Amino acid sequence: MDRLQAKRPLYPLVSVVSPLVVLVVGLLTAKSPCFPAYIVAVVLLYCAFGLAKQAVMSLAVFIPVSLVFALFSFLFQRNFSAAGQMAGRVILLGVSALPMVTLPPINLTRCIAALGMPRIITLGMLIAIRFVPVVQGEVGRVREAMKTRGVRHSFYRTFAVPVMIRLINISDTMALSLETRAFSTGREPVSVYKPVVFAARDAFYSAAVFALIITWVVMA
Amino acid sequence: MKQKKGAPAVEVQGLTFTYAAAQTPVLKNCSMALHYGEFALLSGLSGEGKTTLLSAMAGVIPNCFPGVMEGEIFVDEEPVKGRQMAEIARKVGYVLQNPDSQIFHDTVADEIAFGCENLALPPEEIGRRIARSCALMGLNPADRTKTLSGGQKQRLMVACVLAMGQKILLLDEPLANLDREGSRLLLDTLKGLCAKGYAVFLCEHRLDVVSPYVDRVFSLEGGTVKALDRGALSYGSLRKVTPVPAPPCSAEVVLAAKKLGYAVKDKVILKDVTFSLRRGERIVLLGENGSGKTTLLRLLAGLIKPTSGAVESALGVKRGSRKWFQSVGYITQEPSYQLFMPTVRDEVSYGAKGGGAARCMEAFGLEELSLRHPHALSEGQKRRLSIAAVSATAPQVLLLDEPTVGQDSDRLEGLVRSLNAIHAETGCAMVTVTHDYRCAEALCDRVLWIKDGALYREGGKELIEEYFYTAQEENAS
Amino acid sequence: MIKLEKITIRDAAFIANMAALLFVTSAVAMPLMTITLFGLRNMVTAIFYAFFATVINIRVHKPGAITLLGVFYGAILLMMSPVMCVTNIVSACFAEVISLALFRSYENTKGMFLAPALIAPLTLPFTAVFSVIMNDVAFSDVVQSSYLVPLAIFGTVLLSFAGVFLGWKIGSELKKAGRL
Repeated sequence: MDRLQAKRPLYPLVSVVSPLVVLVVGLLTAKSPCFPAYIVAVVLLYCAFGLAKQAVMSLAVFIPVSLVFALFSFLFQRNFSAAGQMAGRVILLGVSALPMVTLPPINLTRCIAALGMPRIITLGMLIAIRFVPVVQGEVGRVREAMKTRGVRHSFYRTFAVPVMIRLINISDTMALSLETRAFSTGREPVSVYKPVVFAARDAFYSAAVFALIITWVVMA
Repeated sequence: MKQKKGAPAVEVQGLTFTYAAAQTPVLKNCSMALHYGEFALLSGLSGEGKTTLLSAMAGVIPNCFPGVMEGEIFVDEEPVKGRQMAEIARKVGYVLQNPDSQIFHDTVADEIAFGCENLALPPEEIGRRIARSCALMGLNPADRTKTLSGGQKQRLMVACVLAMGQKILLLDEPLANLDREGSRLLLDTLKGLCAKGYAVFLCEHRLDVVSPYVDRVFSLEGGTVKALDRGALSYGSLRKVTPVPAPPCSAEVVLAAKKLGYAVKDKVILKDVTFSLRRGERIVLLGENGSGKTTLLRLLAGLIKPTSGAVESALGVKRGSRKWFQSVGYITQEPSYQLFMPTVRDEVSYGAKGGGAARCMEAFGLEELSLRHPHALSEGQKRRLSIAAVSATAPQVLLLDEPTVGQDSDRLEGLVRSLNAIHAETGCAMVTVTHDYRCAEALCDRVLWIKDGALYREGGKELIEEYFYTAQEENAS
Repeated sequence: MIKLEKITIRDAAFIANMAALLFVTSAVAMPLMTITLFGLRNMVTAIFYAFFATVINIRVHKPGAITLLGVFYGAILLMMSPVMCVTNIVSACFAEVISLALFRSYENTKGMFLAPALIAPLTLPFTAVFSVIMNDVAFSDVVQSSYLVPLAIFGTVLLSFAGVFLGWKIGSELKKAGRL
């Protein structure tokens, strides 16, 4: 995911809201015959705001995936048009998310803190982002330990129970680490080391997305 | 409040604490004081309650972990009782164990900034503190946290606390992931802070490394704190397990390391290690943290593949298969990963051969615990259980990674006796990694001293004294 | 009166971790995006949702815990599927409200297990509504699109209860191990 991070990320709230608007509008209008043009326009817009490399990487993944999805869709529904729409939806899903997935998480948490939103949201984000790789690591360690015991695999006994026990321990350590570093969900004042500000570039980007959506809705 | 050197930083008065789920108190009527400008050490075995005492001093107990607490704790002469964690954390910096589970941010700078942001420090001040704590801990603020080594992660967690600027620092086994150089850097920094009036309280197993730095020593035994003389930390004062004569080993080689090497990307962890393990032989691996001992054990166990050289086996089973692990018993450093059954008895019985289960239950003192859940045991008990469970399968080779951590003198004596009895009875070959001076001699016929990823010295029991005393003298100097 | 208790950082961290786990395990439903059968995705994720919600209730058992799970899980899902994000948050909230309205607190075992069992079934009506809006079709077209739809609905309910049972089973063991 690190390779995806933007060099000049957009303002966090813009990065979160704009992809949602692009996606929802796209899904609502996916049946339009011009739908591929909408996807191309979205990609070009993102490229113009410094996400060209990430757009290429995303397309390289999502185009093959979309073909698989389209194939399955065709097998179930026997309908070329529906399969095409499915492929378009999958590509849009991958591409539209770019401003959000290229956003460094710290920018988002700092933006939330600066806006005075509940800190429990920051907590959830910090942990959710961090926990997925932790889960991968712990699953690997448990599997290895079970191997050393020469056990016959049983999902509940040799996997679920030890993994859950480990993850609960880690969860407690995480919470403790937050508390000992003076994190609180109360109303205590906090500061932001590198404040994230809404710049002219973000305004241009927002205007461009707005113009694209309006044009597309009128066309579709 | 301006803190003066010598003024009490933390005072513990008659502290008794019982965890909510436990029946007996882990701390019993503990009293002690830590003063500004003082570097104090808390020694004691694992499971004795050192972390609990530190947690109580940091306000974590009973704020985060419920239980029954009696007695008083004062921070800066103000009682801790009734105060929120976030409030206490402004005065007391607490470095926890397991740095891996405590990193939330992408870069070193952001991770350090997190605590300062919670204290609402101005951005310019946070920047200055990041630069200062990174310089002290030898870190680069721009580095990505996921690329850091275990030692660097440990130093990062210390840097996070240093940047927050509390004058009272509690550190729970901060040297666990550090090599000698990293330990020296950290201890020098802490000593320097003490000279500036900070109060430092450190809980650590590696007494030889810490003892030259500390002003006062406390020991936690049977749930009670005692002040100790610094001389009590020297190896000469420790009670060693009496070695018993072992049956002679055969000439048959069961495992042989041939120019064994292991590297991750460009980092060489182990290089050109060559030795043979004979049937019935007992080898102890000695070496600093990060010298490559555990990697060598994992290579012998077939858990990882060497990047150069090979491990040759005469066991006649496919490496890494279920049958292999029935022949090669491996006991990990962290016992809880290997436990999965609902009761202690079931755990030991799993895969046991012959009367192995009953014998091991008795030998490792687990009979009284037979109906308990393995994960409800103390760390020391879990370790005995994992050794018993693996030993009960009567493996031909037994690989043990720090098997004696958390055992008091009596338990240690019993554990070593049981291991030697199993060795004598089954004729298995045994390789033990240990930092425990008390038992190293009783567990070996031959010693391999690993240094910087290579086999530095090889010899008999006499090498043990040399290794430990060299380490102690190096630290003292 | 419903007894309100403050959700601590430890509780919230645990819930956030369970939400991340729920996301990882529910990823098995991703390939099902290709199949437009109503209720299928809800059915597959039902067992995981009920499982983790039950484990949370066994440990935290405070009003708000299940809604917080919905919020954290929804936040993770936000980009993958805004529809699922909203559906999950609303369903978790409704499940909690119904359960607390009936039993007042999670001290009662039935209340503790009802909320987790209700979340996935409650996602069904919301999914149907979103399908109607998104695909511009009639409600009857969504729910009568295949003879398999009733099966998927029944499966969602059944797997929810199976998830609760599994959650209770593992929760009991973790409690015995002193971890919950």
